[in-house]
Amino acid sequence: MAVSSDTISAVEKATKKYKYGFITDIETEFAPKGLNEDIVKFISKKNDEPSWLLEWRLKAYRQWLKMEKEEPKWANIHFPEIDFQEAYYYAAPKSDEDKPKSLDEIDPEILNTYNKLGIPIKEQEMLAGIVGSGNVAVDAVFDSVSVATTFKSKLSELGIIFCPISEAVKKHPDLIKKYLGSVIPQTDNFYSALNSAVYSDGSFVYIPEGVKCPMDLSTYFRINAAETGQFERTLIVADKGSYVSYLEGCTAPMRDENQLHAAVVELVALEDAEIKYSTVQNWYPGDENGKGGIYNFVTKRGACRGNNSKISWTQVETGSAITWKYPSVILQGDNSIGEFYSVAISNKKQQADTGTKMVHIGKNTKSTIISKGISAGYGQQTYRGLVRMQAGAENATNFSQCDSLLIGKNCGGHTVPYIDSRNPTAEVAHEATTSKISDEQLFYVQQRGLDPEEAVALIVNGFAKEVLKKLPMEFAVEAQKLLGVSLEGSVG
Amino acid sequence: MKNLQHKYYEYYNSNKGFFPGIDINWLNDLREKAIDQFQKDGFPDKSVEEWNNFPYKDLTNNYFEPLSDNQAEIDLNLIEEKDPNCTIRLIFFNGQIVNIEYNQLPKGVEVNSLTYFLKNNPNFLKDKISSANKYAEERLSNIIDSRPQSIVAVNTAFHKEGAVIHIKKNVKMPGYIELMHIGEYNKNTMQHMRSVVYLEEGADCEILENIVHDNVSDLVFTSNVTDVHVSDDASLSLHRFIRGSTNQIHINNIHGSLHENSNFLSTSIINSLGQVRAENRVNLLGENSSSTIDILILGSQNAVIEGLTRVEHSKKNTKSDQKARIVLGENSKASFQGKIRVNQNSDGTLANMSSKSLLLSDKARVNSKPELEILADDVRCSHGVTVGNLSEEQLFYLRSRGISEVEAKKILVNSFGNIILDKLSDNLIERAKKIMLGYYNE
Amino acid sequence: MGTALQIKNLHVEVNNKLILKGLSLNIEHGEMAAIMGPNGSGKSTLASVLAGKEGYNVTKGYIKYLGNDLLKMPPEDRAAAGVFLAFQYPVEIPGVATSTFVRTSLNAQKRNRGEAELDAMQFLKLAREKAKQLEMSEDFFQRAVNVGFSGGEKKRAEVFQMSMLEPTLAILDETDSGLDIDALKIVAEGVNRLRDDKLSGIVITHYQRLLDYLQPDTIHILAEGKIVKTGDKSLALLLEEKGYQGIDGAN
Repeated sequence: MAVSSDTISAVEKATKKYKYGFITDIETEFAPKGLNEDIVKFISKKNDEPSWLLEWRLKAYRQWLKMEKEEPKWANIHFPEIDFQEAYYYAAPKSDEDKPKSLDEIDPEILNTYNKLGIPIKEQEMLAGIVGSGNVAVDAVFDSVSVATTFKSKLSELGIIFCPISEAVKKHPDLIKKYLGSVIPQTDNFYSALNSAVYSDGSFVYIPEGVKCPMDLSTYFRINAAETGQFERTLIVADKGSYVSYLEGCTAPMRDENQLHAAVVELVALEDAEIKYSTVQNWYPGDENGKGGIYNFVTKRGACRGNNSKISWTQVETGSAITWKYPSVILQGDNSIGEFYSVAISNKKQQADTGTKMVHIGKNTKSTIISKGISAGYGQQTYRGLVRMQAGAENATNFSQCDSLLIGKNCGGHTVPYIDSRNPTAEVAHEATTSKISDEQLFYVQQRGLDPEEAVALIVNGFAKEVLKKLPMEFAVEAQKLLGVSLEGSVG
Repeated sequence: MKNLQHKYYEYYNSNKGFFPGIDINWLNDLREKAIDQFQKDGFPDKSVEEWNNFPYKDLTNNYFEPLSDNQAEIDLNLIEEKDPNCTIRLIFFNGQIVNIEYNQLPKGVEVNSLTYFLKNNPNFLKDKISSANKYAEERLSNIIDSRPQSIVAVNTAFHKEGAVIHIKKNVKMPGYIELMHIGEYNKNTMQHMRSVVYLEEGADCEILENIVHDNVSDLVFTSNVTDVHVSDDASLSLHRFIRGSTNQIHINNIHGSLHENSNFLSTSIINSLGQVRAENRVNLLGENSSSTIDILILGSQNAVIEGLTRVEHSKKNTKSDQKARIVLGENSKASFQGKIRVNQNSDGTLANMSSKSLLLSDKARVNSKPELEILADDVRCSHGVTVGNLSEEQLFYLRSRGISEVEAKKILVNSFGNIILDKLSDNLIERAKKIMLGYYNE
Repeated sequence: MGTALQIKNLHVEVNNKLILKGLSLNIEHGEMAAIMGPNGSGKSTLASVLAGKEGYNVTKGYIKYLGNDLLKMPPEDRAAAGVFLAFQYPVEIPGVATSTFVRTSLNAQKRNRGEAELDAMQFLKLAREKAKQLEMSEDFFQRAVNVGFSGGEKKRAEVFQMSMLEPTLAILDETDSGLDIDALKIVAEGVNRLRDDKLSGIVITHYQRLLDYLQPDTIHILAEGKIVKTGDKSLALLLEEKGYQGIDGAN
């Protein structure tokens, strides 16, 4: 039908130009190319780390060497083999030695970058540390090193720690020692081992007992230097009865070389604590031929360690050439709750293999999985999710809903749920559907006056609504825009 | 494991002269390629996703003699009489054909043993016994992965007997054909059956593969692989009842190719006490073809039962439905792995899959993995999975009407399985019900 | 006549919360008692405890029915002893035909009582008769229990089951909810037809209108887990007029 072919061409057009595709011209300080023990030592030294942490990194590195042949192959993704010796493992802006104290001191090129990325003025002001300019704290990471951290004083009044993880290693070594790698051990998997060995920096959050963090904590990541592997490390600990909402957002400039990103995010929720982690990911997906684009191999996992704790992951994934990502929750505490809400778009030649793992260990634990996958162009998208009810998970329940929407003839939408139940009192329910935008729907909306692009955007937003509404306000708007941009012309 | 693999390889090479059809070149080629494939891939281990739910330790830790002569005798008088609805019955005992029963062979129906056909009409079988990896999956990365088909390779290399059913154009076979496989083995043996079901255009036929491996005193590894060809406008029902003792290791594959406007229905009822794996791999190669695959797993004691179904939609307006119902008591374990694959341009596909499991004991365990692999956009596919226990509400309602707890559970278990029996023809429904009722009485 | 059901000082907890707080109630043979009360007063709890549902913890008091200690009996034995609960929300059982369900129930009760069971033909004859009396089409015999039934159909099916099982104590738990006036009449007539000096009944309802048809002998007001007022049908009229606030002790 004419309507659907219009739609398809629109989808193709939409993604011709990468909205955030530009390169910031800043001198970068590199560590030499390649990976060996010396590089690990170099990174550790750059961060002025204690010896225990260097040992920790080296252990990860040695394990990674053994695992090198075990680079995961089971995912529904294919890409040329990565030459890990061809990448740089450390890059920092020159201004590292002398961090800016105010907006004026910040490299105008960086500010310009933020402008192009559409970071609101308000947040830029926050970057400059103008008090009272808003309630979002931004720990901006430019390449690998933090250039500005805001609202520290306001947060520290409450005893909240929100700082680069490199700083936390120095100032709060006990917390780092206790929790770093406690959810995702260095040797958990190939990419987490790599990250543990060479991570350059990242964020650390600690919410003390009984404190409800009064603002959403936010961090923007960018990958900027050519051939620079980006290895972020995030650790969030919510002590008893505390609450925090954390936002992570990403955009990246256009590049011809594939860039590897292997971040690790660990969350720990103690008794009665709640962590809400939201991501909007819009890295460069590569061009129409699949050239360039980010390889995004991320390990994200939360542990509901205490009774009545809750961890909620919400993600909007529109970018990257390849996404390999399963934000998971280990439900250890009785009555703990795990949630995963995801919208993922694969357009052009993008490939995404993403989902979650909910491992029920404690009694009366509860998990919810809502996944909405949208494939267009030549995109391939796989939902891969595990729900496991351990023998002790009395009366645990899970509900999963995984829907795929296909736009065009050349894309694929796949669903691979793994359900493993070892407790007769536990209940698992999984539903999935695959469909396309029906010509009737499109026609109906167009008849009411929307152009095909708008019509598709409307329908896709409706399709994803259940997830979008879980995002904090600040992100919801950006996410809706992103869905439109990602499918612009493609579907709408 | 590697050692055993090599032992089988060596065995094949020094004994190949003893397998039927040695003088038939194409069959010999198939066997040679299959043993090479097995030598390359070995037994599927943990790294093969389709096989990593439960380890096949008994299979991979023991050596099974491929050509051993089981001396046991069978008294045909002791076998239950042929069901009146059954038109033709073939009885295989320990892998050998011992009897073919019918009152009158219907016109246009050819039924006999594989060895009979190999001797009398080998050309008919050419291209109808397929190579070991014909139904291997092409992964999204365009790699054809033959490893999950390793046991099919073993079967292809070592098969000695089987059944051949040929229904000619527009012939509607009355009643049904029963292929009864009785096993009473008394030493570690492997036994591979290779069958062919070929329906010409417009033919119609119902078949029951009835496998009973009782009185097995040692571990026995058996496999049945059936190559199915359903021509345009033809309709085939091919069912399996699989029962056996704790020593049974049985792998059963149905490989089907369906052509235009054809229909395929397969219902499997499995309540072995051993380790059983039943696969259905069906390719919808013709427009408007449709496939319905139902599996009922009734597990007790230490049974390990796996059901795998894979339907590949390759043409427009094809339909498929896959249903699994799993009831597990005591220490039993089961898995259901289902896959709907819709190839590019197979528009108008309608595909559904549902898997429901009941765990009746603390020790029971179920794995369920219903996959969708969709490469065309004009499709409607869905799947649903539930795992749980009997509903307390329903139990109370039944008991409040005067029904005892045990009886109430039985009613609910039966109603849970009924949906699988619903599709069976009148010919077989009573036999199926008997198995289901027998399960809960055990 | 004599007492059929005796409830004495009944205390019941649900999820560690005390719902019934010393309820006492006697019902004679052939007596039809109505229990009315505001939401949350414990009406449905009483029905569930009588039928033996799990999750109701009796901490004090007893229930005697025809001399039996009801609380010691599993639900199926209570049913065989003559207790029938018409559920407020009848449960759906996919895959089980209604006729199979009722026949299995009836024969299980008969077996339990040492009586002769009905064969398929006898059963069908009886079922047809009863369905006809309730103006129900026989189609529903083959439909799965309560699956896809409308609210009214479910309630009628409950009364059908009751007429088949011939209980001696019928507990109607808000049987009138979700029924239009015509359905209500048919259901009430169905219940009335079963009334004789052997059948005792407990009618749990919010509304006067079912009582108009059923004409109960006694009316009990349940509030805060206790019977606070007992009277004849004039009490229901008073209630209709003044509400629970207007009844002494009902607050």
